[in-house]
Amino acid sequence: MLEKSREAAAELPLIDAARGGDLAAFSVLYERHKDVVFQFVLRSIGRREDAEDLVQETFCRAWTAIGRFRGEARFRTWVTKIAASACADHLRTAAQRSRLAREVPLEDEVMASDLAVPDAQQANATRQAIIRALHALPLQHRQLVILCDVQGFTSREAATILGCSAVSVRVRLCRAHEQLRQLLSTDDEVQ
Amino acid sequence: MKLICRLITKYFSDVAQTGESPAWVSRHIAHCARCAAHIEAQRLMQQHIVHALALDDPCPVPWDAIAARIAAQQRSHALTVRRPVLAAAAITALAAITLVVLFGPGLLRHKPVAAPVVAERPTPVVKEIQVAPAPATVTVSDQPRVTVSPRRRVPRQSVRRTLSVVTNNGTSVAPEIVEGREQVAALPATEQSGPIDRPTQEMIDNAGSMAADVLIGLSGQMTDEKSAEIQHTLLHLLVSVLPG
Repeated sequence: MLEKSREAAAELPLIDAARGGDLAAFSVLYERHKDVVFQFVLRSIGRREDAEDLVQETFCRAWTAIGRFRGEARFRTWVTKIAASACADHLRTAAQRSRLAREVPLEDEVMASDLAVPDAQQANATRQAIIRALHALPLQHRQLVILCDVQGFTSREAATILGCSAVSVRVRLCRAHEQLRQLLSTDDEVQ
Repeated sequence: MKLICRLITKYFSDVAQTGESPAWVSRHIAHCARCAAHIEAQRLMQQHIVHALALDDPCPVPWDAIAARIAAQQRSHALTVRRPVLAAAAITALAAITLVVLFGPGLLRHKPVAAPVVAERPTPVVKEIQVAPAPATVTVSDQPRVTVSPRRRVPRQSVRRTLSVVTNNGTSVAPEIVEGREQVAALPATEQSGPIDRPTQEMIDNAGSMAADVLIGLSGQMTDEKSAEIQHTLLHLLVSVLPG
């Protein structure tokens, strides 16, 4: 908690400068948060090219709307909320939805070094199974798992990002975990 | 499964891992093996998820791309929002200046020409109409008026009148003979006066007008013999009709 507060306090001068039109200050904010946003977007939509495009879109929207940032949440939470909105917009089109339904995004980081030893192959298989199970979840459940389990957002922050209550976040997260457990156990049985 | 175990596994499993759970949850987990096992399984699965989903490679999008996109966005915004207003204002001003240059001198030189004043001539106004009977025809004014009820049909008769019109200038317009058909009171046959009785006069008038029509209408196409024949026939008709 203290670390988060310190991070938010350190970002305030940069945010103020960006509000005044300082693009250099905004570039510092971008360098700090781009990986979190990229990871969130890539795990949400599953396609690397689209994720890169959506990261650009997210930070352009953030630059346009930074005058409306009130500082009640962390900058990371605010920009991730913009990313979630951009993902929802992206997935809203029927074409994108049908394409995603057809394709299982397995292009995520299958590294050659992971395939060198048998343990690594096993780890990679587990990883692919988890990614498949994650993409079988509904979008909001998937995003909750990414936000809370992977990126370490609290349930209140996740609620701010996804526009729902903290209690709803907890319930949905438990359901998502349950679904993941079922999907992974089914996958194990199949293998 | 107890209700409290169900509550904890359903709603507090995530906060139990972080240590932010309420005190009663922590106390229960410390004493309940089932809940502790559930929380541990949850933690392990979360670790797998984190390991599986953690990205080793950073975001490949460079800042230059973002900066270029922001600049393009600002240019587009300026084009769509500010420029059209300026362009519309400039076009309006240019059109106004062009109109002034083209038509301004002409408008200044142009003097409106007054329409020529025409002396108004007094229009003759009819003051009085005098009806004078034609000498050879039935004199309507001399005959006593007979009151006719509206329901009674009276025969039509041809009436010839001479009108003399006097204007307000004191000049009198040339008298004209007005021919027309007028409903007059039916008079008894004994009261009809004149050199020719009324049916005969009517027949003569009709025959004359018919002959005139025929002659005028066929004059272009009629031969002289035909014309002479018609005239002869008409003369015979007149002679036979006239009394004595």
